[in-house]
Parts: sequence; C-alpha cells; structure tokens
Amino acid sequence: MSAAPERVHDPALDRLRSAWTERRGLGTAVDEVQRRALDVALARGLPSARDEAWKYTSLRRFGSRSFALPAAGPTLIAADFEAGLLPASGWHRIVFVDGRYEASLSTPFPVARGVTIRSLAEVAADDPDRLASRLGVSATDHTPFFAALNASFVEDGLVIELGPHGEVAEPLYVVHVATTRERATMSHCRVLIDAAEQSRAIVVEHHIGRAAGENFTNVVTEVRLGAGAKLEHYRLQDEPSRSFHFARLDAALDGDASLVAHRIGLGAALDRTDIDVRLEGAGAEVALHGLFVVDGTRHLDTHTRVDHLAPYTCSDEDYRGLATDRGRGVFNGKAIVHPGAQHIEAHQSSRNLLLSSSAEIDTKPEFEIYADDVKCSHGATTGQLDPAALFYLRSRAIPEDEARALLTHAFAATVIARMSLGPVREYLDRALLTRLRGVDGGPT
Amino acid sequence: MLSIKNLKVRAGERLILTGLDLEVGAGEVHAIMGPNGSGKSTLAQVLAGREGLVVEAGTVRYLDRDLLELAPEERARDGVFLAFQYPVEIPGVNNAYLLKAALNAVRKSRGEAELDAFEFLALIRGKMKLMQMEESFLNRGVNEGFSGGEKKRNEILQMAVLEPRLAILDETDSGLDIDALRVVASGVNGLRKPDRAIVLVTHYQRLLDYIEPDHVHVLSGGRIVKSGDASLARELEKRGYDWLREEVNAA
Repeated sequence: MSAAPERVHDPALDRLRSAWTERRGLGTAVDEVQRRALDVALARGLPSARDEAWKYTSLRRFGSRSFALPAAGPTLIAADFEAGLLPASGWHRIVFVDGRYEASLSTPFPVARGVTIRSLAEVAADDPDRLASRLGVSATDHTPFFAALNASFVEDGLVIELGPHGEVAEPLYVVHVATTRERATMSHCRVLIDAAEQSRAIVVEHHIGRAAGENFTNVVTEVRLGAGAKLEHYRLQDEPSRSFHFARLDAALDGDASLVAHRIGLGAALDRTDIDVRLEGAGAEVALHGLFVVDGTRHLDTHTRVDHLAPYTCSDEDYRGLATDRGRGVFNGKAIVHPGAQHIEAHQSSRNLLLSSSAEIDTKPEFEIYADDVKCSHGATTGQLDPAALFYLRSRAIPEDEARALLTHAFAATVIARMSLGPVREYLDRALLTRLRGVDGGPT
Repeated sequence: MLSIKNLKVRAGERLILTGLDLEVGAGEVHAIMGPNGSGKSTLAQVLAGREGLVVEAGTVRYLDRDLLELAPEERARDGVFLAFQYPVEIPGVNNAYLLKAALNAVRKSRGEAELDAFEFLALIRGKMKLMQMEESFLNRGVNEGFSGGEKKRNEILQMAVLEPRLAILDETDSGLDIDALRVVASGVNGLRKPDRAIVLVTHYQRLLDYIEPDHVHVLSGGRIVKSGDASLARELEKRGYDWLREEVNAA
C-alpha cells in the first residue's frame, strides 16, 4: 500500500459541492464570487484537530451528516414558533426560516430617517455588484472554512444600513427559525450591519428551531461601526438539542465607536462561535459578554479575538459557563495589542462552574502585546459550588436541589445583569431556573 | 425540647466532642461557654446538620425526633435555627428572596399559608425596624459587602422572621461593638417565649450582660465540665477558664 495522501478525500465536501449546484443563488452577478468562495471552502476542507483553533472541537459527527438545502414554499405559521420567542413587545420582528426572510411572519421593516433595512435577497436584486464585492471579502485565502461556506451558499439575510446619526428606537429582533422536514436542513444566513458615525441600534439575533431538528446553521454577522456609532448585539442560541450551530461575528470599529456583544449559548449539540473585533480607530471600545450552559452531551466552543490597532482602545471580556452531565465548554480569548496602540486597556475573564464530575471546561486566555503603555488583565477559573454557601441556604430551609439551582443562577446573574434588555434577562432567568433544578450532585 | 446524650463528633481525624450531655427545655435560655477549641462551634454546627462532621456515638433528640437523621433543610423547617458565627456572603442571591423562600418553606411545614409579596414586605419591614436595618439591605446579595455587625444583625433578622423553636446562636457577639451588641441582644430578648429555647454559644460573658441565661454550661475538651446558673458566667469572667481545667483534672 502507498502512503496516505496529504489530505484524505472527504465525502462531506463532495456533498457540499453537489448541493451548491442546486442552490437558489443570488443571481448571475453574484455567482462568480460565490463560486470563488466555494473553492476557498473546499480547498481548506473541514477544520480538524490539527488546526490549533479546533483543538478541542471535533467535527467528526458533523462531517458524517448530510444536509439538504431548504425546500421551497412557506413552511411555518407564527403559532409554530411564537412560544419560543422573547417576551418582547414593540420590537421590530424580522423572521428568517431556514435562512430565508419571511415577510409574512415579520413586522414591516422600520422606517426612520437615515435608516435603510432590506433583506439580502432584495439587495442582491437592487445592487448586485455591491453585494458581490462585499461577499468577496469572505472569499480570500485567509477566510475560515465556515465563513467561506456561508459566502458561497448565502441566499438571503439582512442588511441594516444606518446613516450618520441614524437610530432605530426599538430593538431589531431577528429570529432565525430552523425547521425540520424530511431531511436535516442547512442554512447560511448573513447579516450585514453598516452603521455610520454617531448612529445607534440594538440587534437581537435569536436562534430557535423545532425540537427534533438535526440542522446545520451557519450564520455570519458583519458589523462596521463609524466614528462614535454604538451597537448592542445579542446572539441568543437556543436551538434544538441535536443541531449543529456555527456562528461568526466580525466587527470593525472606527474611533470612539462602541460595541457590546452578548453571546448566549443554551442549546444545540455543537455550537462553535467565533468573534473577531478590530478596534481600528482611537477610543473605540468593545465589551464581549457571554453565558453558556452545556448539559447532556452538548459541546460549546467560543473563540474570540480582539485586535487593538489604535491607541486609547478598550476591550473587556467576561464569559461565564456552566457545565453539567457530560457537557463540555471551550473558551479561547485572544487579545492582540499592535505596535503603536498605546494607552489601551484589555481585560478578560472566563469563569466556569463544573456541576458534575464528567463535565469538562477548557479555557485559555492569550495576550500578544507589542506596545508598552497598556493595562491588561486576565483570569480564568473553573470550580464547583461553594459548600459553605450551600449549607447556609439549606440551614435556611431551602431544599438542596433548589439551593444548588439558586447558587448556579447566582453565578450567572452577574453576566445577565449586564444585558440591557429586560426580556432577554427574563428569558434567561426562566431558562436557567428550569434547566438547573435537579442537576446532579457533582463530584463527591 | 433538646436532649443530647454522650455525643461524640469527629472532624477529619480529630475527635472534637468527646461525650457531651445537654438537656434544654422549652422556654429556657442556655449559654455554652468555653475556651477556644473546646468544641463550641462544632456543637452548634452538628445541631444544624453541617456536612463533614461525623457523629461517632450518642443521640440527639429534638421534639421527640432523632435530629441527626434529618437533612439541614428538614431541621430548619422543623424549627431549628443556627445563627452563624461567620455568615456566608452569597452574591447574586437576593436577601429578600432568601428570606421569603425560607419563611414560606417553614410556614408550609407548619401548615400555614405562604405569604405573598405584600404580606411578606409588611412583616419584614416591622422586623427590620427592630434590628435597625435599612430597607436597602433587602435588595442586596445575601450578606454581600455587609460589615461584621451588619451580618450578625442579618442573622438575628432571619431568626426573627423564621420564629424557630430552637435557636442556636454561634458567637453572635464576636466582632460587635457595644451599640450593635445592644441591638442584637434586644432582638434576641424579644424572641424569648415559653415554647422557644435559645442556646447561646459564646466565649465571653459580655453578651450575657444583655441576655440573662437560665443555665450556663462550660465546655472543655469536648464535653460539658460544669453547669450552673447565671452566676457561673460572672465567675468565669472574673477567674477565666484555667481554674476549671485544674478542677476537672483534679477530679
């Protein structure tokens, strides 16, 4: 027998290649760049344990599955998923079903001075060349696999353009619903947020689906914030327990712009989220907050990277994780302070609670600092519930399982408290208390 | 109400209580005194059900039940209350939430209706006034950032709200200035009732100037070596503990 070839032939890539030819597409003007993106994705291949960034997250199970493109035609009515939504009223609701915008399930796009909101398919029809050049950014040799795959398959999404001082008063509530049909379905939705100077918005992306679904979600959100623009972004991943969820948030910030990004992971069998933030202008600041729960055999991986490219920039990361049963959480946070980026602050904290002896957390902060006037701190902890606190609560007549749930919730409460939207906090409080009641006793 | 016979308790390798006997009747206030390391806190904690303490021998009967068989929360529901020497800070658990959850758990086991938010607030306001606590305490994390005196007052507040049958106060006087001590003592005195027993665990006689005990016991080497009335406490204050050890050794 001859030696094994350099890259083993991967049937998963064959399946993606043939699915691509059947996709709906965004029109001939965009076809060329989508083909290029596909070539990039296929050339890269599925990340494996040999990739440093995928050391703790295996795609073996994901790679063995096949996923169909979403079938045509309306598939859902509001009653199918309404119970899973945030208890929010007055928000602009924008619903995507398997990655496709569904106007009939959405409220009309808000109309305000300096604010333009369209579906990506609409932009492809109105201005295909601009969209093609925008997607081209995700079809280079440096583009990671899932981002390139998204660029090659994307057929719809949301484009939010805020002009100078533009403002959407109420949150934009983007609901991504994954359905289950005869076959597991894949969706490659893309959300583009271009916010000019001094504009502001709150965008909530909420991922839900039907209980039995073994879907593949591959979402990319790109954010560009002009000088002094402010965006608060939430990604609330609460997909069915067999879903594969891949998400990316790429953001570039001009001077004095501010981004707060909350990453909340409650569901899916596998969740890999990448967050890349470039602080390009002086005074730009980003806060990355996260909360995740891994129970059952869930696996959740968060990779963040913040590039401090200008002086007086700030980054503050605070991620908290709860792992129980055989759940596994991975956190890797990288902050890079580039030469000349003086007077910067970069703080990072990753705190985790292990609630069972077979749960696992891998957490790794990384700093690369090439400037000398910087304030940096990082801390990573993984521990168990405090037995003294547990005894104290029980001595006050609180039953043991409830005391555990209270303490676990308390651990998450500090991150939840930082979320400005009441309905998100309410949703999380409820989700945590129901999920955590009766978790097992942990290592003894 | 409480009957302890020949109680032997081990913590790790060490035998801390070496055969302790104590009888506490309803309506009585008992003071357990003794030098550091004599086992006072271990006694308080084993009665509340702390894990990690191993009962090697002996029995503890409480209201004709085997207390040692019960989980800590069952003891609390049945009217046992421990005021901690070091109350635990629990950020993220709201003080009011804990008080209400605790009270309703106790009420439920007494066959009383649970209180709603308004009834609870009315009750708690009155009790907080007695303890000279500001209402803002309610919305803070349990003991979070409280001073030593505030933590002890919070313990007595919880006791006042839960109205236990058997209250055990573990070094509640330690770390209190004289004003706080007065507030705490008047809180405890307000709880003296014919159907309630109070056990004060203390190193110093100071607290007993404000709360007059019916019985005073001296704990040494893990058992009670001398019992008497309130005058015994005053004698200890004057003469210290050493004379007792000599007396015990001589016997």
